[in-house]
Amino acid sequence: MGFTSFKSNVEAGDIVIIFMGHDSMFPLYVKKGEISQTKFGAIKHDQIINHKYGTKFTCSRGWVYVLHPTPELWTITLPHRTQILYTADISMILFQLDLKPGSVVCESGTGSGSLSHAIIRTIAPTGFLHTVEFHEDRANKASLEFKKHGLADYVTVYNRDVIKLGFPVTSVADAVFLDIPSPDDAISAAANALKQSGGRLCSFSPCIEQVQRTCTNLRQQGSGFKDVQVFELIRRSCNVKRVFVPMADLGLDNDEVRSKVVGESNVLPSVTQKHAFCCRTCVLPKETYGHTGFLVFATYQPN
Amino acid sequence: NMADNEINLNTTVILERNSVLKAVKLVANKVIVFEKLRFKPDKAVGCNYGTVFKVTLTPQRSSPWCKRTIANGEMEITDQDLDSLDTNADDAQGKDNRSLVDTHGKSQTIKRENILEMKGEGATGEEIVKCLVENSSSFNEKTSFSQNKYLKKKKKKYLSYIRIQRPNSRLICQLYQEREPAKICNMRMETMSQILTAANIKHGCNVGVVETCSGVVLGSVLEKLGGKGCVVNLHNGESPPNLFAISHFNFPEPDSDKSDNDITMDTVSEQSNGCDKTKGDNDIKVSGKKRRENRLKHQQRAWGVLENKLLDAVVVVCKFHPTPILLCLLDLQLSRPFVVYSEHKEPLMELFVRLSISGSAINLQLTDTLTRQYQVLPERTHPHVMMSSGGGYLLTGLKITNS
Repeated sequence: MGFTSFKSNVEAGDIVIIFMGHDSMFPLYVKKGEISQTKFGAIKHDQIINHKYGTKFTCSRGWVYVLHPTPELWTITLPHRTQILYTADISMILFQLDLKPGSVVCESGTGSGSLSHAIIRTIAPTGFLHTVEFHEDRANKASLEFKKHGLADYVTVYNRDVIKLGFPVTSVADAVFLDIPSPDDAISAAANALKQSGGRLCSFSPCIEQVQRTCTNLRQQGSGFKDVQVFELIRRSCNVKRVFVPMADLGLDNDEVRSKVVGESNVLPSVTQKHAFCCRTCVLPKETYGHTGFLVFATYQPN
Repeated sequence: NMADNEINLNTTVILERNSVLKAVKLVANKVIVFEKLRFKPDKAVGCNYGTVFKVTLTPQRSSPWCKRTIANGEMEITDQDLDSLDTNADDAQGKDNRSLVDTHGKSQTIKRENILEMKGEGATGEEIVKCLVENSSSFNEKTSFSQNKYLKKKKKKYLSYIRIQRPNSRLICQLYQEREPAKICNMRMETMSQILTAANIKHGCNVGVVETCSGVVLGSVLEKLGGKGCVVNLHNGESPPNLFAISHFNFPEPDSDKSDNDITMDTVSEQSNGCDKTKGDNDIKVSGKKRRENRLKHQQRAWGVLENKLLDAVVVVCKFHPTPILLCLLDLQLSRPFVVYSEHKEPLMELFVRLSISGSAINLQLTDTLTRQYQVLPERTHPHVMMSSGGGYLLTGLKITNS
């Protein structure tokens, strides 16, 4: 039940996130009597059962934290079966689709379930997610995963092709999310799934050609869709570090040089430092996601 | 349930004209003034949210000291598609502009005064547009593409369509972002969206909120709680904070199941010193004993959450330096998230260092987000020419033991 509610202590059967470092985490299903190996040594599951989430455990070669699962931690630790959506895009999708407890959502495809977990968190306990995946094995795995995570009451996975067969439900959804190779062919399927009183649609596509076709179809007379908007998000994470900027040796003992550099006011301590100027700054990573995908949003409101 | 989708009196709605938004409470017989339009809302009652209305133009005052009473515009339901009035949304582009001659406005013989006069005489928007077309010497020389574009531009200006939408955190955020960004600390909606996910806001959780965003953050958190849980709103000083935007959300009246609770920030620091007296119950300006009792009950519940360290998340989105505020509020449960927003990077850098030294938080991340909006049209797809150049910074992390 960890994704939809909070608890304070670890129990057998829980999924927990083992934190070894900022970019070194993995999910763990807690089972009585089991032992898991990590790069810091073995973790005995019995050792963490009944302890508080957030507790630090010492292994033979280092320490780990046992964290409460959240959809955001799941997104960065889940086993990839496909390309997945990351938190910046997921956040915007949930917000732009107006999701809140009680919302009914249709999603295609399920993929690795990164977005699905976040949707369920936001719409539970009164909402429901109908998620469609055309790849049979992926659909089964996702279904099993939801069950293991205690989410079966809030979601059904369907193995079907949304373009050929549409969504399995009609006129019930508050929101539809599409992440499929040709979303432009699923616009009427989306319209059929959405409530007659209206709703929101989002389509995620990595390529601009898909976006163009999707927008054209959304703007088609009689489609029922309005307010088409396209966004792209780039989220940067920076590291707070102390940096040293070396000073050139200009011979500040020389009065002429000194008067030029320091001036009369003597207010800039940085220029008089002998060897290096030191400050705290945000260091950006050498490489970052420059593109994940385009987000197309629209409002459904049939006349 | 279709009745849920009906516009009712005494609720707040979002009005939209030419992409400008405004939140207005509909009151019977009370005139609404919005984007140079004046009208009474009564005809909208019972219509569905999303309905587009045409409002007849009203003559404008010729001078500020003219006291002539102004007639109200009339509201009329239409099935006008607002997107089709968008001048950019045409299928084809004009060939090129080699034969375009700049007439410096001489091609139009109707002047501003003429239009004001027409409006004064009660001309409709259609009549004004027709008159403009008839008196434009260049209209017939235009390609059909640019005739269309001209018509749309004039229609957008003189035919007054408004749309009435149901308020939600997306529209309220958009409204503030576009019209009064300073009142929400220049925070943008993609940042708001990340605050809600990073703090793992969900049904039934206990959230500590410090905000100076007119209630937009508080309201968004309340919306995502879905009526269960507890929000402890901490504010600076004794005077009640500006939470005007809360009223836009149409939350149920403060009664036993409302989850919003106010406590002053100053009381929290007292609490952290071991004092458990609630303050501020003298300055409650409510009529009726029951509301007062309810309010007291809420405050006590909020105190209970703080004292027993039951917070599941802490959200700080304010103009104040976040370091002392967050350090005071870091009493949340273990393995729970906190999110701090600041317009500027430096205060968050300081907090980042304080937290990493203290060992009371892990998974610290300092981020900013660049959002690019695109115009997607056949043969004319490109990013919007103007974009927001920065929307502040977020520091997120998870609370842990420091032992």
